[in-house]
Amino acid sequence: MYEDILMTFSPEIAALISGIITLIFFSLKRYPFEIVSSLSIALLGVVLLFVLLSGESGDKTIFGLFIRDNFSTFFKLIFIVSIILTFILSVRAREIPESITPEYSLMLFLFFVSASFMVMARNFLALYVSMEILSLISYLCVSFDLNRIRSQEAGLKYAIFGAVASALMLFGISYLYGISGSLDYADISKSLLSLNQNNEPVFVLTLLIILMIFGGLFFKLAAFPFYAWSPDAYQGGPTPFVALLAVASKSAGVGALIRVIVTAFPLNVSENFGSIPIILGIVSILTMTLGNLLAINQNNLKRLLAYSSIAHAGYIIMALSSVDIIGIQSAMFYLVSYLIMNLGAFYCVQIVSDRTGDEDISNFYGMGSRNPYLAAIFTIFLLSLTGIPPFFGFVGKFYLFSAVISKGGAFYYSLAVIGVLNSAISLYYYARIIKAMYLTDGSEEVFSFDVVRRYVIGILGICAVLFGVYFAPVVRLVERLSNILNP
Amino acid sequence: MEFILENILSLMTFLPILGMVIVAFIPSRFTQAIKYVSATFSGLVFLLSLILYFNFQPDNRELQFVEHYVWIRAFNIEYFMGVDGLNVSLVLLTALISLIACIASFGIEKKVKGYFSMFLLLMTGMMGTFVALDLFLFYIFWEVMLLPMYFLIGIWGGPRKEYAAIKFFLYTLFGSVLMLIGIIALYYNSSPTTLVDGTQAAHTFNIMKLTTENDFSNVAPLFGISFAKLIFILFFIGFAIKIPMFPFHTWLPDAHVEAPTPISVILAGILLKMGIYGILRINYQILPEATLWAAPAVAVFGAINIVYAAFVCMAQEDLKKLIAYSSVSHMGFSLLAMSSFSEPGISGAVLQLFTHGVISPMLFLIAGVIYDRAHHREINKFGGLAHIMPEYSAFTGLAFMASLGLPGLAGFIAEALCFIGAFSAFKLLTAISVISVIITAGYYLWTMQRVFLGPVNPRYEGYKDLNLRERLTLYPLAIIIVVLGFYPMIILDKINPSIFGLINSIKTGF
Amino acid sequence: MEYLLLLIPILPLTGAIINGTIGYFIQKRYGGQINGIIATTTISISFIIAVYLFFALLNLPLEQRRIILNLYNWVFAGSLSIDFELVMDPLSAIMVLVVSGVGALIHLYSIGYMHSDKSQWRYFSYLNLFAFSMLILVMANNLILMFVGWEGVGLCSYLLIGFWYQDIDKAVAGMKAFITNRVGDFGFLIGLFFLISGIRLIEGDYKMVSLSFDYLKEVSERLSGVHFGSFALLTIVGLLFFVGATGKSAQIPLYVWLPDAMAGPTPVSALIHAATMVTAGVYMIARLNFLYVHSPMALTVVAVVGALTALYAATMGFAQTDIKKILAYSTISQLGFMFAAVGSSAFSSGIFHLMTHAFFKACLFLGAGSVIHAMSGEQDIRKMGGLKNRIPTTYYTFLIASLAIAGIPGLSGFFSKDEILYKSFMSASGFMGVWGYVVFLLLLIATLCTAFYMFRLVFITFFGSEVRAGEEVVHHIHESPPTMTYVLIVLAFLSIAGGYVGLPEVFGVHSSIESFLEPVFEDSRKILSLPSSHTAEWIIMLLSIFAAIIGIYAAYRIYYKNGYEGARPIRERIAPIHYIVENKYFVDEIYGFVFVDSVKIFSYLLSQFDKYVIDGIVNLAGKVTVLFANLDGLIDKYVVDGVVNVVAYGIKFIGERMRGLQTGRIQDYVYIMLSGGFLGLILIRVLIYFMK
Repeated sequence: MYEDILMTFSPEIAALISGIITLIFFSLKRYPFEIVSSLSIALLGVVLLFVLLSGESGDKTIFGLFIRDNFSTFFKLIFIVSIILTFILSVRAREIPESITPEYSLMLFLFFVSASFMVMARNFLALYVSMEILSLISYLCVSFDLNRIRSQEAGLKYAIFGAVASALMLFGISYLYGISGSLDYADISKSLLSLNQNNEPVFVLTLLIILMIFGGLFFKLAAFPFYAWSPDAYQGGPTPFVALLAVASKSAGVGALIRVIVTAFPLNVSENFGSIPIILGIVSILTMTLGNLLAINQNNLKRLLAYSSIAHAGYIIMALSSVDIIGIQSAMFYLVSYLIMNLGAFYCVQIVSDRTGDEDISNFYGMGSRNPYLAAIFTIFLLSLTGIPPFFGFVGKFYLFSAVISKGGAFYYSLAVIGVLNSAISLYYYARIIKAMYLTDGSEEVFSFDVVRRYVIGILGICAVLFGVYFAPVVRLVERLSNILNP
Repeated sequence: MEFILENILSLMTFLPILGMVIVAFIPSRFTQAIKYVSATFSGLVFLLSLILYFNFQPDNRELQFVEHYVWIRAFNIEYFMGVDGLNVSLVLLTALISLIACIASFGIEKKVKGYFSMFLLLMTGMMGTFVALDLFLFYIFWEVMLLPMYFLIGIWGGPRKEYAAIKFFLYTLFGSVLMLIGIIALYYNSSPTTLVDGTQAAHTFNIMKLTTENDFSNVAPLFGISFAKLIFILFFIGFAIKIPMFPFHTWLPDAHVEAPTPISVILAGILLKMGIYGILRINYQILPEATLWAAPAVAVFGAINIVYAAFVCMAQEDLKKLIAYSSVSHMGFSLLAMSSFSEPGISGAVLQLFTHGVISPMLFLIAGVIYDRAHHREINKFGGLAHIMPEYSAFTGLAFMASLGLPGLAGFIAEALCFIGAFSAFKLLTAISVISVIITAGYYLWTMQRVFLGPVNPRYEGYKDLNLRERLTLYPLAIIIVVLGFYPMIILDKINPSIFGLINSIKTGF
Repeated sequence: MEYLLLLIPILPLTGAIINGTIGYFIQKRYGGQINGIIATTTISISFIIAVYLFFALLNLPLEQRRIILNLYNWVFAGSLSIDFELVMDPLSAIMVLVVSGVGALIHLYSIGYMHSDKSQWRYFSYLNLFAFSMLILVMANNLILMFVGWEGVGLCSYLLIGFWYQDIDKAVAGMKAFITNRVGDFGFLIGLFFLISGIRLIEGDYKMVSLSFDYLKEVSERLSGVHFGSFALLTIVGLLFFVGATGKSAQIPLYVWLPDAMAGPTPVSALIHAATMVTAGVYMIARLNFLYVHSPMALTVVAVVGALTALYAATMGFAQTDIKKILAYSTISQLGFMFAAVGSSAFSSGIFHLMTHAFFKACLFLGAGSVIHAMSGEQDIRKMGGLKNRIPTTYYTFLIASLAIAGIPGLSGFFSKDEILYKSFMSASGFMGVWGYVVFLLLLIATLCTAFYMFRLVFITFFGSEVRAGEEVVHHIHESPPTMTYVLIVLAFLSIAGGYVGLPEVFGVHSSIESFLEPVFEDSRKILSLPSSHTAEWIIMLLSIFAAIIGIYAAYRIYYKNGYEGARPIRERIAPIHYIVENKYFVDEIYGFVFVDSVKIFSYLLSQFDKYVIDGIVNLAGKVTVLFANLDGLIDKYVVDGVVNVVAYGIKFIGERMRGLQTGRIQDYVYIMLSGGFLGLILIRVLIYFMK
């Protein structure tokens, strides 16, 4: 029994321990961040090992609270990769003061732990708790930079939103407990189905409750209506962690959302009062449209990326609104591409802002001639985010839209149309950055940056192109790790 | 040789990429080297296209030079290239015009390296679009063209380049994302089939399979209109923007006016052809019944293109804008003719793609010549150039005459066939469109008179006549134009049989 | 043997290419004469070959007098297969002879006429190119190839009218000619399309169709049955083709370009705008006789329009003072005669007059050229007079030609014109009914007018005591060089002798040209034959002679003594009419307004529409998106964010003073958050509503 639990949770435990190790070790004696991060990365490698090992023994349900299945493994992999990249990015990052490196690395380890618990949760209480931990870490990290008021403000704002969202969610959860006497996803779905079909108030309420619960998750995805925190948090927080926020915590949200949709809420709560797909569809439309429109005239790239990542959350939710296997696989696939291109974009922003002190678009003027390499790679990421072939992002979008269109029917087709039009709009602001780099002349002096980052963005860029042209392996991975779920 | 003939399409498509890589490794200061490398590669592609063209057997209606492999099994995506009568002439055209444009680009001074790498990338996109027979592959190439075009207009363009570039990019992207939906929808409604390696596939992107094995007329309707029609519209908008068809044409004048000469050449010579080609290849073959349903509307739009654009030309002050609008007008011929489903009509439409594909580049080169000297294109500010630059004027005269469809030159046969074909189906529309022969003559001769005739304008005394580079680009086109005028069978021979097949597939396609 | 056919057009083409490419250097190196000689040689050789083929043709038995050269399959699309095919049958033989013969003469003449010009290489290459196109036009064996020549000659006429392009008016004249011709082509093309679709109707979709004349001839019978709506196909086609002809041959309503075309060098006017190109329309109708005979209606229209033009143009000749303009109107009028002839199904008479007209009108133009040459560029006849002793050769040749055109017995014009009058009269009792008489009368009056304005010209120019021009001009007057005068003499001779190939039957002989053309027209005459009456022919002959004499006498009375001034009293009496006639009935102005200006205005409006409406919408879409973005941004910034900020700052503020009150204020924005949820719910309800 215990070794079972140990085995199942080995990655989380490993992460926890290594977090504590780093904390103690580096608190005793200050080391430059290179050392810290390289050690942490090494430890994360160990964690990764455990993730893969724990995958060997099939699905395990622990205490009826968590389930460890391939699905969760997939997300853990995403977390680890993005955290590793964050560690690399954090080295000599402008907003990460050397003073707090140990805590910072601990936070990142905890981030992994809570996030992976979140995607493993099969019980609302477990979900709620892990989500709260994740949020707390995020608040802290966003407001890490004690001597930047902006960072403080962002953290506070973030915290307030989070509080509201989780409050809503908690309320919803308690209601669900009320009607079903259980917090287990499966039981809840049963009791929801057994609801009396023609009791209007109950259904409106139920629907509202479901919305509340989604609200909590949408908060993590920065989806409508809980998106407003992200621009400030992104702009205020330290870029490396923001990148993590944009990728990993979104992924965690997606993972949890998928599990909830698939196991907790029956597809059609009531044919009279709308159903999960319609809710998700509408939310996705609002999210992507708002995100894109708001991004159009942002001059601060971090803020711009924040809005764009809202839009991307919208695309993902759109795919999920077709509650079926293709939808889920496409969402997972998209997360992979999103991890690569979005982290890449944040890298590029960070690289420049570390030099110039802020993320204003004007810093990129003439980059095409100042540092062709950086400009080219950044362009790849941006086009990939736009969804233009032959880049990874296009395949991701293609997959998402296939998920919707394969369902057929007017509703899904209109979803798809709005989706593609949105991605066309998104070109407008991504192209603004390209324009700034190539079409606008800026200072002539050559821009150079350190070799590690050069390699990292190079690798990411290669992935963005390579998987755009030959994405079969990714598809296979996704198919293998998603087949556990049977909606 | 064996190897070349077997992989000729891939070679033609991806040689430019190789060239791009090589260019990328040449230090930017060796501009001449960069230029010659690119020229070599486009020359190679042209050579291959000639080999392809003359090894193409028109008589068997099968696809030829096929390259067919499974690419991404998960989505049943195949790497499927091949040529038939529909695209073989366009492949030749693409290679030819690319070479001409590449030579014309030797005048580029700014950021040579970037220019030529983008140029080569563009070549790949264009060639791929014409030879790809898998919808996914087709879409990838289709989109790959956008970016280099954006840069080529945006960096090396004229004063309002940024506006023109982003307008082109956005406009085309809007069209193609709709097309993307169409592609996915076709995929998920296609019937099970086998991939090239014999494995079973639930759905397919294979255009040929979609044509032969699928009938989309009985898929459940959406928004109250039949599925096939809806998809037809989605694709059609995508292509209509490229053609460009009224009212989606306004990106073209801007793009043309701002683009550097060689890019205008590419734009007019090749890119515009993709719209018509796409409609013939995808809408006509995969959705025949919807095509029949849409034909009258398409014809009307074609007629509007022809007459409307011709009139608009009449009022243009900027030489390049005038030529741009005349392209719009001339693409109308193809639209009108192909919606008649008569063999002369569709042969004429395809031939028109080729002839206009050599005439309009010549016109743009001509506009470029004068712009290089005078640094403006205001028609009314010129005068008497014929006396200063006789050779140049002679070529202009030739190009204008060819473009206004003077018999004995390339334009005439194509336009005549278009009209003959169209007239069998739409008498009044065609009659109205024929008015354009008057208007076209009007604006070309008027331009001729304002720019070249009349007393010599002292401001332009001492302008040099054509230089070597300009000769290298203009002479070949002029020769082709005359030869095609008297022997159009060079092209018609190759396209006719497939046209026959295409029409049968439509007439019996439902 | 049949490959000689190819040589006929190819030779001038080579000449054109040589002069066009290296001609410039030739002229610089060896002088322009060489260009002229090259051009003249090529066309002369063509002429010799033509003569040879002509006799070869004569040696063949009557029914197989056709030499065909099928070069290659030119266009093949669907079931349309058109060959590049040249033919030499009696009709085209005559045309080829005229074109290459007169052409050669005029080339020769040009050497002298253009000797001082800067760019003779250009001139001669154009002239050769014209000869090539014209020969293609008359030798083509199918409609499409004929159209190639048809447009080719149009192009050359454009180039040659605007030859001195530095004078903008000349350039504009060229443009006018081309575009007016295009208007005609518009009709021609539509006619062609009708014809083809008609053929489709009878042949079905899959039978191979070539548009060769033989093929058309064999289907014409069946085509005559086809109707579009209430019209017979062949009527539609015939009329539309005739529209093309009016453009090319300067008939009402499209004649306006020809007078302006006189801007070109005089030899050009002689060759293109008198002898050859302008007769293309007549040739085309004669060539398509087998189609026309099936539509009496179309023929009637042709005849009437021709006759009207004949008279109308003749009257305009009265008031002109530019020597070339007068000849231009006379050309229009004479072409009217030809159309009247073919219109009354007397195709051979039409061709006969075409030939004789080629001789005497060329002679007249070249004579005029010689006069202008002598007057050092002066074209206004009011400044001339008394030239007959100063430039005798020119004078005599001119006089002969004038007599010929006036229709004085014994000269070519008499025979051909008389035959036309006779045939049109007979057509009245044939298919044309009363229209026949109308045509006849119009032509008779036109004959009279012709005689009048021609001799008005002669008297004003050559007679009278002194030259009414400046001093230096006067003592500059000299006879032209032999290259020119010889040509004049040859043409004068032809204008006398040319008539004897077509002696009328009443003289007891058989018209040799008619019998030569018989194979081409006989089938048509079987379908549509004209009655014949010798008495009528005698009477008409006398009438026409009478008319001619009256015309000449009137001119003599008015102008012999004191030239132009002689007409003053009459002019004053009919001032308003004279004013109108002098200004060519203001047709140019009307056309200019109705067609040119209106098109320009319309196109301007459209371009504005395109710029501000169509493109406007596109830009608007973009702007609206951005606007939304801004709006959205504001809401986001001040409403959603604002509240949060307020709250946040509030909390910070209080937090610093009294701790632990944050929770109290959180509800404020909780509601805002919730509102999002509610909004979603409402949307769902709406959606459900619509989905039901």
